[in-house]
Amino acid sequence: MTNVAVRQLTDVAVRAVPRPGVDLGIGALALLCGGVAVWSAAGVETTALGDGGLAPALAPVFWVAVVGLNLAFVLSLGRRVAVWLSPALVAGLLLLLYAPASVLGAGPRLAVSWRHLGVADAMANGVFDPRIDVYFNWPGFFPGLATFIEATGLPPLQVAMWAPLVNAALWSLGIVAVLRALTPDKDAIVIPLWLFLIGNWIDQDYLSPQALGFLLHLVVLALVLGVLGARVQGGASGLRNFWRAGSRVPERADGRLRRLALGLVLVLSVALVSIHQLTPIVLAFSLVGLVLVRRSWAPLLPVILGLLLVLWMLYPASTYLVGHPVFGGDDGGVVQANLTERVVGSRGHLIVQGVRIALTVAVWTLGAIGVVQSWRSGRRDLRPYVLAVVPFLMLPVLNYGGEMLLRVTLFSLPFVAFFAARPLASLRPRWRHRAGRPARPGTGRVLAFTLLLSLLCAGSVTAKYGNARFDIFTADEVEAVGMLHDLAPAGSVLVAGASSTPWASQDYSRYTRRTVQALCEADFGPTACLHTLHELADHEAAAGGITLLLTRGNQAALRMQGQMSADDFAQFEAGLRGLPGTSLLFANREARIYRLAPHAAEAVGSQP
Amino acid sequence: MSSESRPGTTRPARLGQMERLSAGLVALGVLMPLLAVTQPVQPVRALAAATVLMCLPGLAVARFLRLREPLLFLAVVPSVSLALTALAATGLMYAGVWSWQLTLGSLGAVTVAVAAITGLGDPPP
Repeated sequence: MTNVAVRQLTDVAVRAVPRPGVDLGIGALALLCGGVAVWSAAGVETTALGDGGLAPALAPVFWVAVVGLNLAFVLSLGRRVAVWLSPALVAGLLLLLYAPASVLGAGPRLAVSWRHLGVADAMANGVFDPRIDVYFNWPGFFPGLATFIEATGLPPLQVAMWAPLVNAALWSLGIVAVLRALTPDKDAIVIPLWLFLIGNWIDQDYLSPQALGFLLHLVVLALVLGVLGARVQGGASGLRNFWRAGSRVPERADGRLRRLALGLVLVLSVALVSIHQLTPIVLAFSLVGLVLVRRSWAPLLPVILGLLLVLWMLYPASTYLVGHPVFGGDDGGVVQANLTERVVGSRGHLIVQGVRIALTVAVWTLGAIGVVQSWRSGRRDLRPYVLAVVPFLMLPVLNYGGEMLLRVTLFSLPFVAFFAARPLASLRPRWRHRAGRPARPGTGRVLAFTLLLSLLCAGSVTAKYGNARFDIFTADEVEAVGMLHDLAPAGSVLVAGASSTPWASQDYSRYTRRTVQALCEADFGPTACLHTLHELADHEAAAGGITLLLTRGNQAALRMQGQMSADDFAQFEAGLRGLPGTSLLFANREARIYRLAPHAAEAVGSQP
Repeated sequence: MSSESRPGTTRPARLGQMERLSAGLVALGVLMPLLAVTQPVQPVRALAAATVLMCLPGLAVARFLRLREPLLFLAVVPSVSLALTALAATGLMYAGVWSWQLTLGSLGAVTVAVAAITGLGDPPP
């Protein structure tokens, strides 16, 4: 078997060269690099993080591990390898890119993870009211999470801390299943997976309904492509004849398997519809795309999924949909909501935003080159083209605020990466035999590919953990949030400086939670913001005013995102302390809790 | 290891003919939820519960479908398990009778039912 050519991504001649000793070394190197990266990330002091996020704070050994892991990956390409090697390499990359979130800080990264724990906790305690918020209208994920936490007996914060790593691993399974339906070529599966894991700085892999939704989306696509797929027999060339010539036949002859797979897809679709509002819509349109290119043997599937969606919106989610339309796009414009409004803030934050855009553009550019190469080489399998493009068609259609571009990028990323692998494949090492013995490949090609992937990896770490200064929480901040819940009366309004607050993991429905970031959106000036807060305190007079939490992370978030400078924040807090009726309830090194009494709004104008 | 069921055989005889993997899944579908409900020490409790929530129902379903493609099989097992966990828990929540014990029990029942159907059915050609 040693001279059997591997199926080609490119015209480069490569040989299937089994080298068990080399494989063992490569696998060990990959896992070692992953472990070293986690150990290195765990040593970072969260209080030492700057505006550039985690990357500048990482020790040189982390970057050595990045290069070592990518070198191991490159040496696994272009030849036959042991069956365990690719999973070992992917495990190394998962550790390197996704585990730092699990070992940094005093709890899960991202405030929304804490909130999701709170929703599950509320539901486990019998709170199940669709009037509370959107989570109670698409609740499918949370009872499952409550079951997992209660049944396993694991600490909820630990579950949330390790969720990104587990989700990324599960997504990897889904992606290889999808890609396997598109190609039998090992390298055409593992290179896109590698690029996906690097390009996915988008932060949807935390403990969330959309993370589970994305997994189900991938598996439904894998089943439709792999089991419920169709091909056209007797077709004719040319676009005009595409939909008329030939007849559609199933790719799998086994009718029993197709019927059962269809049933399974329907079960997964029902779960998906109950879990997340956006994902089933993207899935339905992706399935329509596959039907239009005549590659699905289940043309009614998107119709059924659409009906399920409508039924869910009409009944379980009807409360939320009043005033929250799903369709309609963003009034402020897609580009403004998704890009312009996000690329603002401090210098370090702008550099991180630049890296995020550059990384995304780099993967898209490689994908575009791959599309051209693929088309020119005569590849007319339209499925990956459709699945890469359809999510972007949702951009102006769905009303999902400034996150829509991030979401559609994630949905298309596996297929963009599929095409992006094609130009990169020409950099794979060329394994040859000399005098009947395996010879080393040329070092130039190996080093160039390693360097390129390492640069992309460095960009990924920079982009993914670029907000670490405010989305990773310290023990003092967590302690202050605990005190906040102890000090504030039940049913009262809690206000935090910014959305980056590790709260709501308990007593989810017991309080109303607001943020200075949202309340003062119209004018972040200290005086105007104080006035806004006291208007709220007056409004909440019946509850004795409001309780306000200001943390280190809150201040960093407001400053880094260009909303309140350090001076403005200091002025705002000094003004707060000077107001009659304001009392400091708690303070530690990184957080303060104030009580703002009502009837003090008239005093605000006299504050500095 | 599978053996073909013959018409006219009695139920105990048919159960005796159940192929080993399906019989194993039936046993795990009964034992694992029971083990988790008794709340043994960690990590036994976490492993038992996670096996039921993330593995067993999907494994039973993937075997029932006779998925030949290993990568698809590997992806289907956890995703179907998690989807069934979400569906079972949400259904019980809407019915107002949710408890983690009941959810585990229903997932164990799904595993047992699907594995038994697979084991007692005709073997794959």
